[in-house]
Amino acid sequence: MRFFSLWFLFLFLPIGMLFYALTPRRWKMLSLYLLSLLYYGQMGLFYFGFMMASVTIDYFLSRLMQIFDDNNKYRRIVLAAGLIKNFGIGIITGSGSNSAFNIVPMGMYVYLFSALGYLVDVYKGDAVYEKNYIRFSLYCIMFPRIPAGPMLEYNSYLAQVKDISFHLDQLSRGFNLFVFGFSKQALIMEGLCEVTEALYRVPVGELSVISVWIMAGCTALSYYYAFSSYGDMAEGLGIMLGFRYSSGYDYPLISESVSSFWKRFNGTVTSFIRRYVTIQLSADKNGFATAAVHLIASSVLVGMWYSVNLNGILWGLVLGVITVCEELVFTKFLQKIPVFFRRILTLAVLLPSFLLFTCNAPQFFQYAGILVGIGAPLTGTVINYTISSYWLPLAAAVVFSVPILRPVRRLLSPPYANGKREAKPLMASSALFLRIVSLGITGILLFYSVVMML
Amino acid sequence: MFKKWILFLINLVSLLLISAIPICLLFDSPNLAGSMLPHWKGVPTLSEKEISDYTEANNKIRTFLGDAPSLEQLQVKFKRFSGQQMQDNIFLAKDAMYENIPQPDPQSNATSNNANGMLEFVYRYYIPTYVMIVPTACAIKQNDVPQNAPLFNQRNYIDDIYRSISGVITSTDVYTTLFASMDEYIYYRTIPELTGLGGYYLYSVLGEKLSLRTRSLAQFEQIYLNHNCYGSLYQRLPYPDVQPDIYSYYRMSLFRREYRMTRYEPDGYIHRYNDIILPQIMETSQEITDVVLGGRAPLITIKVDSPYKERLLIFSDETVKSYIPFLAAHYNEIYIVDLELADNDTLDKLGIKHFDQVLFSYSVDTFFQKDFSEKLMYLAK
Repeated sequence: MRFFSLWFLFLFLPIGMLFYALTPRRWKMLSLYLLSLLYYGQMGLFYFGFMMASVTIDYFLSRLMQIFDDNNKYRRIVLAAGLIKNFGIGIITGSGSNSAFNIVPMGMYVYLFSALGYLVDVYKGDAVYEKNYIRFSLYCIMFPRIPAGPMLEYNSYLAQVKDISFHLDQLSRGFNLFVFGFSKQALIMEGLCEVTEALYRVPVGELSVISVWIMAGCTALSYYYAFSSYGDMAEGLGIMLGFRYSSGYDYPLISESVSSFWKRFNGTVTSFIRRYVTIQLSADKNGFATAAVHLIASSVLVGMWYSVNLNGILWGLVLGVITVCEELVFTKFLQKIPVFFRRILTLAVLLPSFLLFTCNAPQFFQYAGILVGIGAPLTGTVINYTISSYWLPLAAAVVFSVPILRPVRRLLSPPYANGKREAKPLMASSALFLRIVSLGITGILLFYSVVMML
Repeated sequence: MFKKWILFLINLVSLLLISAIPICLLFDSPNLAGSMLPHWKGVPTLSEKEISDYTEANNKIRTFLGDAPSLEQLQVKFKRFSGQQMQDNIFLAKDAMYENIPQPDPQSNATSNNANGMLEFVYRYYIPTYVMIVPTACAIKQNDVPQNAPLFNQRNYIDDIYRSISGVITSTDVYTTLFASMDEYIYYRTIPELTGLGGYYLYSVLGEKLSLRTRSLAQFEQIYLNHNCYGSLYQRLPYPDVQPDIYSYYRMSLFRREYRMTRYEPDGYIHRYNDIILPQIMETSQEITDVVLGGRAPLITIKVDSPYKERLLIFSDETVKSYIPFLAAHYNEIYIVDLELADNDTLDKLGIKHFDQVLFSYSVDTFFQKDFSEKLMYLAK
């Protein structure tokens, strides 16, 4: 049951929200836990059992760590067991057809790495030992985060879950953002994927330089919309349930550097990996070589988060090397370049890098050759028809990938403080009018999206 | 207090919005019991009574609302607005739909095999043989398909086939004639077939090649059966802007002909009729054009009460339905074989040596998609 399935939208979400809304405040965590179990349960008994077993083992590892609180050696052994268990499962199940599963279970990386992060926090003393099994499990399997994140630090979760609240106002704001993400998936991503697939079907000999750049752009936009739509939906659902966390996507294609791209493209995962895997390592403390290795390692791990195969690893590796060059070699030189040109330069690196995700090595080198003008004309008419057939999703994809329409998003889900209504009274001045407009936009987007997803 | 109520109402509307869409979905019932339910993935199976009650209730609502557009139609329209003038491999013209014929698979040898099979057949029997490859609507109506659409060049494809059999089989070029009449109603708008008028153009070209005294269109009476029909393309893709088709067939009016048609069905049954046009099956047939000959069958034989003595053997696909009402009047007996459906037992019944002429008549897409060379080789043994 994905977020964009009609089952989720018309049955699980309204009934679940009603159930959650009617539950007394002190039982809200339990009701959210039950909803999360129900959501994950439809994956099938095997996957459900696997997830429950994994989370339960992690819970007992953390309890074991508490038992050995005064023995650092044993605590280290327990942490190592947690690392091996979670990394091992992640790599074995995610590395293709030899894995124990036909498909990677939905949300596996989220619950594995959430638990892993918690174990590291507990080991370092950054987080308290959690005795409440339901509270710990909910952190790992909270249903808005399960399909694709975002990642959340345990302390941030704990502060929110203890003060869990539900307001109709939140529901409305969260729903607006959820619909925004849903429509990104339905109205932009679907068309974008079709045009990208159509472009990849064009024989290499008929492609021009511009057409391959467009192909690379479409690939990058497809990945951005595929992931960020889930991020928006997850953030929206979180707001509806009374949680506040960022989707982790902040217009990554206008990044000024590849380092900035990592923060903007699923930034919660990047910061999570850097915090728990390449922690406390920086150029200042450890020197060039160590810093470079850890920057590259974190990039490769982020690449593997998306795809545990050679494509994901290479993508991370290439961007990791560029990050090292940016942060450790050409830092001063790059700072002298005007921002606009830095963005163009970054885009020129990022777009071809996304071809690595999709193509095998020979294909990639063929496309890379055309990108720099080897053996191909500058322009051509072959892809004109494909482009004109998808002009609207393409135009929308480009427009919504830059922040010129940020006010629309703010209108759909304006910022608020601590889960409470904003200080400004809603009825004051134009607030009510804006709410009605946002409701209208949400309604149109939802209707249009549902029609397109049928 | 009042303000709080207003605020609550706005939030309530937001919630109701979630449940408003399923109600819209329930209105979506072009063929309710059959086609709407699969959209609602995962809904438990409904009993027949529930479906019938549901259909009845929805029909009442639809009558009350008038012609509410279905969501499927809206989807097609939205996609077209967003630039997709080809959906599900169908070109959406201003008021018509044309199936796109993609390039033949380079790995497939169907075309050359079929051409070789025809040649082997001719070398075996030495009966005057003719071939007619009929272009599809998207080639002839190419002015109506989107600009720059990567159309398969059917003209070149047909010419290549004709070249490969020249000197042995007489080719019939209908492309030029159909292309010259592209602005006329020669292809249905929602059915991937030629109209009766298109069939007449095929007959007029074919007649000359077969040395027949072709009749003018005025000598045929046009009988209308349906002014508002939507064919299989529309069933696949409910494009709301398409104009309905007008279905009519032609019958020779100057000299009446009596026909006795026998259909050898795939299941072994044999059905006999006193005509080649069967309006009585209009309601039950998959496509309204099946009214002619009753649709496809492995073998259809037609005995004609006419002054002519010639016997014609036709190997064909659906294209035969368009021109047979005109052609049948010129023969004493016609056998129509559908090589895709016919088995060896059926082929054994043919007695090919007794035919005066043989015609291979296929549309472009059938010719490169279906390989029937094995059956032709069997006949040539």
